[in-house]
Amino acid sequence: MIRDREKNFVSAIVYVRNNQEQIKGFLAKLMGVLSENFEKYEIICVDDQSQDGSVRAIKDMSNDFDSTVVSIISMGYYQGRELSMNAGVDLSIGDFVFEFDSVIMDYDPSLIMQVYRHSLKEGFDIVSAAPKRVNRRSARIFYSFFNKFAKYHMVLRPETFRILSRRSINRVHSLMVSIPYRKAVYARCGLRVDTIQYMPTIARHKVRDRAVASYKSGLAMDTIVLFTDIPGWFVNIMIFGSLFAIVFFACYMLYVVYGAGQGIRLWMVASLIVSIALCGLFTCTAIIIKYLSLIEGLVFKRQKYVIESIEKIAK
Amino acid sequence: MQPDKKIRSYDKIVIGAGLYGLYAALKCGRMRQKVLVLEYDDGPFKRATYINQARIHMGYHYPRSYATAIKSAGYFERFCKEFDFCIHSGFKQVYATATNFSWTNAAQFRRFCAAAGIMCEDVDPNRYFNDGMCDGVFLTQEYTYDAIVLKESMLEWISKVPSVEIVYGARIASIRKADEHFELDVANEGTVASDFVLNATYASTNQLISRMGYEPFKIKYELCEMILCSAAGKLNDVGITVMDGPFFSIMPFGMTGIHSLTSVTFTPHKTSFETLPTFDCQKKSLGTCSPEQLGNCNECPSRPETAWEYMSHMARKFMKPEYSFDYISSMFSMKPILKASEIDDSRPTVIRRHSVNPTFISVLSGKINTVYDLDEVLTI
Ligand SMILES: Cc1cc2nc3c(=O)[nH]c(=O)nc-3n(C[C@H](O)[C@H](O)[C@H](O)COP(=O)(O)OP(=O)(O)OC[C@H]3O[C@@H](n4cnc5c(N)ncnc54)[C@H](O)[C@@H]3O)c2cc1C
Repeated sequence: MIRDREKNFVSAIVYVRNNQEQIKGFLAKLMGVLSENFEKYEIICVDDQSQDGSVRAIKDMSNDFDSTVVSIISMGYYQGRELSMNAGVDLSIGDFVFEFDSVIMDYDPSLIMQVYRHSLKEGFDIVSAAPKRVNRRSARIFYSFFNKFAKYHMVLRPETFRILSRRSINRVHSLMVSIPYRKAVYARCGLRVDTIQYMPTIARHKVRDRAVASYKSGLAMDTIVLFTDIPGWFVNIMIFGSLFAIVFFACYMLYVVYGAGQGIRLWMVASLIVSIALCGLFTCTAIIIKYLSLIEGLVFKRQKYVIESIEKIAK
Repeated sequence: MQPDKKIRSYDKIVIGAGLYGLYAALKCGRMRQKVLVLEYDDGPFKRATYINQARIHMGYHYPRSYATAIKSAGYFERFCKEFDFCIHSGFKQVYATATNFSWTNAAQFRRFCAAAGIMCEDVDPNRYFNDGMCDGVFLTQEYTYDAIVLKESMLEWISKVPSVEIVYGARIASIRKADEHFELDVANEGTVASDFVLNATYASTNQLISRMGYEPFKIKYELCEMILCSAAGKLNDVGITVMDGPFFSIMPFGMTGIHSLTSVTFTPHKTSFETLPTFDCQKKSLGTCSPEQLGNCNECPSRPETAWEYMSHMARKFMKPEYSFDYISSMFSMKPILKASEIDDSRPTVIRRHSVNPTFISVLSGKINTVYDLDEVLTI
């Protein structure tokens, strides 16, 4: 059966990090869907310093890449999913761009087109696919915490892939020079955004990767500092708390000296005041430093990410 | 030993009628030498000399090598002076450094041009490009040549030199060294001989070298697509090249009034890393092409499908919509690329003397305007 295939050119960005077992199956399914539905498309695999044979596995498949272009971006060192995917999006040329944050396909491949059509027909610039069930406890805690305190009433949830229109990519890039956490930035880009939820078909099992674990906790911290009101509240509480402590002790001191008429142990009281005030000050400073380092990361870093090479895989 | 009576002998035999072959023939003919040019196709300039971007390189392409840049500038001047009749210079040649993935940024490009002494004027990036795509945009001085106009003149000049003979559709059945000379059996032509053979077959160079048993060049091969497009609007008198990495170029194609479109990623369709060009499309070429003898990719029955969608999407992602362009046609040619170990930046043309007395020389150059590098071997 020959169907009318979509004229839109799509790019698919695939994040790869130690996925030698899954990558072939994933790419085969992805290419199946894309070649059935699109006249032209490209696939960009972003390899975030895999330590296993992931890249080899992709190159092994080159004979199957008959009518499509597959490129591999090799990140210069492990930079995490956010920066790697940004690099992929920057290289892509499609009218629509799929971001596959993971190669574990715990959904039916037809969901890919469902997401695309939802974006096209309903006019959403960004449509995400999100599992209904989240197994990882750390993720559940993070998202419930984040959603409670997020600025601009953002609601985020774990997502496996999404589609972006070229318009939304341009919008996002005109908003920010570098994108620290895509989901949060996409959620507040001001364009129409939607999510399709699905029931995962397989359970994801946990893989131990220390680099990834420490990256994720760092990213969670950064996200909370940037996109929630928590640090602001914390600073306020500390400032008012220290102020209150100072006033309280000043009153107490006056009472001790004049009211009760006792001998003055001023150094004791003073040191108490000073240490409490300093404690508040240090905490605030720590938070300010954190802010500054984030700003530094966003504004002053010339290079958003460091890549080692870009390679087109040809037959 | 003198060549046999039935054998026609020449002072020089040149194999290949691209620019390098015809330049050599003309130069030697003007020195009153008897020259035979053997060309495989049914006419001259049907491969790389015609099917290429037609850029007369000025050095802008090598922002990471001053030596090459400075050398290029010299070749540029000479070529533009001698072949001014086929040169189109009346357009704005714009070079831009891409914001992402470029090996060179705006400041580095500026510094490089200043050091190499080549023109480079800053232009507002938003004039040509979408927001944030390029961090530096420069007006430069670089031209394009018209291969068809060049061909007409070369043929006219050669026609005035009676000692130069060109055979088209030539099939060299065998080639051998016989004492002081080489003998070539050419189908329908009989045997020809000379004590000087110049191999100017570009992508076929290793094929001839291997037949002689000499040491081949270390090259890889890329089957390239160049797209011709109409650019009637604002792009009409503008050429744009985005560098330094996986980007694209759209610029006037000689004096034709149309543009060529190429991209670093999508122009090469297939790559062969073998000594002899080996591609899976050769099996479907109906016998016109093989690892032993390349056919003309542009006329091949198994030409690849066009990469227009890829190249046009890339260009449109960068350029403002008012710089519009439309597809006309695609052309294909084979590009041999020297592997790193063979590259000497200060000598862009590789000339190899496989044999002296009798002399067998192969020439391989990646550029049109370095054709003068041939002079040193022709004057002997
Ligand atoms: C896609 C592409 C883009 C390029 N862009 C540029 C550019 O912008 N600027 C630039 O300066 N250079 C460019 N080049 C390089 C430039 O085209 C070449 O350096 C130049 O054309 C080489 O000329 P030539 O005469 O050696 O080769 P050709 O023009 O290819 O001539 C070789 C001739 O040998 C013939 N031949 C082959 N085998 C045999 C045989 N067995 N017997 C007889 N004849 C034979 C062929 O038919 C052909 O006519 C580009 C090249 C390509 C492929």
